Formats: sequence, structure tokens, C-alpha cells
Amino acid sequence: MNLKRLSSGILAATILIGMSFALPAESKKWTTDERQIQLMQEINSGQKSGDLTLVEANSLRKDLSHVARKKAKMKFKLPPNSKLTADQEAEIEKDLNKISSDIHKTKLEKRVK
Amino acid sequence: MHKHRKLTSSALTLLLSVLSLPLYASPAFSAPPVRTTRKVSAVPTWSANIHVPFRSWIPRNKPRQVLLCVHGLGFSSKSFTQFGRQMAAREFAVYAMDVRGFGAWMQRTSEARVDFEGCLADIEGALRTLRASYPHTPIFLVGESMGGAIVLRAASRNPQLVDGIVCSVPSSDRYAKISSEIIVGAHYLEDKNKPIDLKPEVIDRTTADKALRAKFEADPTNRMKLTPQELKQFNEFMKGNNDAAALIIKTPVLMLAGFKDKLVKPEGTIELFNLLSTQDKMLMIVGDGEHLLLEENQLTPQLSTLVTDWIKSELK
Repeated sequence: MNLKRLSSGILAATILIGMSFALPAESKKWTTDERQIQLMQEINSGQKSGDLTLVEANSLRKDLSHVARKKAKMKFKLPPNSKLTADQEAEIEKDLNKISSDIHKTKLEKRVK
Repeated sequence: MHKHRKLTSSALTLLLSVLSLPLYASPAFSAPPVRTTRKVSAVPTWSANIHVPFRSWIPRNKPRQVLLCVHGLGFSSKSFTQFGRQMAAREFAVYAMDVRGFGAWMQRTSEARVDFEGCLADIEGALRTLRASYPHTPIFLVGESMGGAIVLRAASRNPQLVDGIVCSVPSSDRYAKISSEIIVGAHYLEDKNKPIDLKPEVIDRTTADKALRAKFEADPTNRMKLTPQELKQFNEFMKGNNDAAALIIKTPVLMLAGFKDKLVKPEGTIELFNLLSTQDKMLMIVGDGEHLLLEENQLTPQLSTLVTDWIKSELK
């Protein structure tokens, strides 16, 4: 009886430990603000390493700025302190994905040349 | 409709600011004495790797906040002397750096020209050095005019290094902008490397006080002649202000403008304020303020109290 309890206890503990490891491994939900900051850092590091020229880096920053303005306009139309709708979030995410892809594409194109 | 709402709220802020300032003009708000400060007057370097000329005003006790100041066009870190002393007396560690092409950079022949990208790299390096020197201490960027635009740009690129921004008249929306651009353009075509005197276009509009204008011109650390090429670079840099403002996502911003500014239109600063993405922002229009509010001995005790109170409120 005790053995049965012990083994089920061990099993439960194993599952819990397994879950605690598994949870951080799940993809972290980045907010669009965090992604904007992350993309800016990627542009900065690309400029420093020489993978992006000044013109390319500034052009990518301008794209990020357009997204920031678009988001600000969306927020302005909402009541104070309310969040963007799922559709609006998705639209911003799509724009940020495009910039992310442009950063990597521009860097890689230079390496291929 | 929304634009109208924005403008109304901005106008209200402006009106409140203009009306509220005299309330602070009582002696009870005067700055503490400055004898507790220690001025480092030499031009040392940040570290072995970063050679940026700067001045600092450090309080005797451990500072609660650090301010990194960036000066306006034509001036140098010296223009923050009075600001540095007053704020150090309020227990801020104040650092002011020379923008490339100005101040002590003028003595370095290879780096005597304006270079905004180099300046932004200097600021990033300085912020990293200050972060290491003052762990767990909030760092605020302070800039006026061109310096205001530079700190906006620096914070938009490195939000993780900045806890807040105090930004005075950063707008590129100047009075007589078109005529000055035509003059610069004509000089550029003639000889892009032949320096132009900034006095008629900039200095004469900075203040109505003739004695102060004469002082600006007489100070050897100020640079009152720039080449058309440098001025073109300056104009291009200032055009990026709106993008930089939109990229300030979370960093708290205190924006200042002088109501009697004859060089930069206060409306331009209001427009820039509206473009800031951060919701943690405050606009202050100084009723009797000219172009300079923080530099060249223009900091009033009431404004220094307002800046101090805002910074402290941001840290609560």
C-alpha cells in the first residue's frame, strides 16, 4: 500500500518536475513592445558588426517607426487603458515579422556578395 | 476629430503650464546651496576605450540618480555648468559630454567635424560605462535643442540603457526655416567646406539679451561657425526626430519648450510630444522661457524643482 503511494508520489513528482522544465521551453509570448525593442537591438548590432550599412539600418529603423506610429494610431482610437484587439495585434505582428525577415535578408545578402 | 482632440489636450497642457509656472516662483522653491558639489573641470576620459570629453558635477554623498546631458548646436558640455551644480546639490550625479565637432573635440583635428553617428555611439558607450559605475542607479538623459534631438535618438535605439528623458526644445520646426535652408544650400553650392557664421540665423534668435549673445560669441569653447556640409548633416539629422519620437515606446519623457522661443516653434515641440509612443510623458511650456531653458545659466530655481520632482515621481 505504502509502496503504491510512494510510487504514485514519485510519478507525480516526476511529472511536475518534467512540467517545470517543459514550461519555460514553450515559446515565450512576446508582446509587440518587446518585439519592437528586440528588433531595434538586432538592427543596432547589425550596424555595429558591419552586416548592415548606416543607410540600411536607418531604413529598417524607419520601418519600425512606421509600425510604432500605426500602433499608436490604433491605440488612440480605443478607450483609455484598453489593449489592442486580437486582429490589431495580429496586424502589428505581421508587420514586425516582415521587418525581422528584412533584417536577416539584408544581412545575408551582404554575406553572399 | 482625433487630431483635434490631441491638439485640444496639447493646448490645455500648454495653457496649464503657462498659468502654473508663476505658482512656483516663490522663494520656498529656491535651489539648495551648491557648496556640496565637486566640479571636475579637467577633460578626462570615460575609460581606457572610450575617449569622450566630458564634464561632471558629483554630489558628496552617493547619488540617487545619474543625469547624462547633451548640449545644443554651437555649445559644449560647459553650457551645463550651472545646471550641473544645481542638480548635484540635489544629489544627482551630473555628466555632460561634448558632441563630436564641438567643445574639446575641436582640438582633435581628425574629429573636429560634426558626426552624429559617432556621437550616438559615444552616448551608448557612456551609458554602458555609467551603468557599470552606478549599478542599480537610474540614469536619465538630458538634452536641449540639438541635444534634445540626440537624446531622443539615443533612447529610441537603446531603451534598455535609459530610465527617462528630459528633453528641451528638440523640434526641427524652426522660424525662418526655409530662408535659412536656402542660405545654407547656396553656401553649400559655393563651397561646402567654407564655414558659415551661425550668429544671424541661430545666436540672434536664441535670446533677446544682447549681453548673453555677446557672451556666447566670446566663449572659446563655443563653436559659432559650421561648414554648409555640417549644417546639411544637422538638418538631415533633425528630420529624423519624428521617427525617433515614435520609437520611444515605454521610456518616460519630460519635454520642455519656451513660450518666447524665437528660434524653434513651440508648436513643433508639441507635435513631437504627440508623436511619442510612450504614455508616460509630460509637456511643460515655460511661459517666459526663450530657446535655452537648461543651458548657459538659464535654469531657474523653479524649473530645476520641476525637473527634480518629475524625475523623483518617475522613480516611485
